[in-house]
Amino acid sequence: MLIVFLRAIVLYIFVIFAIRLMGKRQIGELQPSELVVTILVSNIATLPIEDTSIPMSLGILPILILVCLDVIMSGATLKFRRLRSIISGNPKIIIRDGVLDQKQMKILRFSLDDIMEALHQDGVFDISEVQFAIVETTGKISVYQKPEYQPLTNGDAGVTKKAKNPPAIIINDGIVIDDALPSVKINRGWIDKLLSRKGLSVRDVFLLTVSEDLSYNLIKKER
Amino acid sequence: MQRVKLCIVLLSLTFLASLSGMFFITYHCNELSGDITKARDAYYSGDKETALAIMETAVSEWNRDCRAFSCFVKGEKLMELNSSVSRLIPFMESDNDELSAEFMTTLSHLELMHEAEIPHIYNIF
Repeated sequence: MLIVFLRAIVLYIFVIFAIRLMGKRQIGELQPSELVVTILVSNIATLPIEDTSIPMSLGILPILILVCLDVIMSGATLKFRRLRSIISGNPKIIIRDGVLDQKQMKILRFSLDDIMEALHQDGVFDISEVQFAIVETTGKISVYQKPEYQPLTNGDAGVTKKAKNPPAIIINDGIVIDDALPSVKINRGWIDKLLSRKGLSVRDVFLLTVSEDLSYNLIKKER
Repeated sequence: MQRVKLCIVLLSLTFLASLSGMFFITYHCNELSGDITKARDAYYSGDKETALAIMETAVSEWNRDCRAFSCFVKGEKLMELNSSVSRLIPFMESDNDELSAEFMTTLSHLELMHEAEIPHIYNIF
């Protein structure tokens, strides 16, 4: 049992390393090859944990090889467009100017329900409002509405707004994030003054965010 | 591209590790097979003492190398080979009738282990 315990810890750390090596993607944005590798890695990692007669090397080696191959392949597809097209496919236009491409739907094996669901998720309930709907290589459907149906933006209304950075997290669960201080042009002294006005110390603060104009939002820790 | 370079390095290292594993197992399997064959030949030519001496050396080397084998070979295969090897000396000492069969069993286990490490079309697909 102790072997199982230790192997689980080692493999957990190793799988995290392997996933970090693969890079940042969310599940819904994975290319087909990356999804396959992710599923394989999770299955292979369980084998040495479940069966202690299997050497760890038979778990670690395949994971490492699959991840390395996937990273090398993704690097190669960046350089060679043709390879990218073979491995990941190409985005396909499935609605053009409000008209469904039924032939493309058959090729992609997309039902009308699949397309309508994707449109509904983007707040579109009428196909005639759609300029383009594109099936991406990940299988996600991206919708581009006709200009007359797109939400109004500041640019459309002729409103100019000053560019503003989002508030920076200055204190996170009682710890000051020193790297964030220069982004809002404050220092520790400013934080100490603010907290002493409130009768608090750094450890009492759950969250402090500060904007460029020095407006802040402070949440105390609940005891 | 740093990640890609790192992965190329890691892939090369895993390839080298796999190759070394293969050479390690094939070398030790061949060595043990050779010793067992010599011991068998010595035993059946009437020189029991020499046969036992060879087997004892071979078994103690095997016991030393067994742990390293467990990094590359599944536990069940190792256990089968272990139990086979461990029966040889007692069988030789007691002139057991099953000694000949046990020699063959041990040699075939070693041969299978050796073959399993070398990539062929039939064990890749």
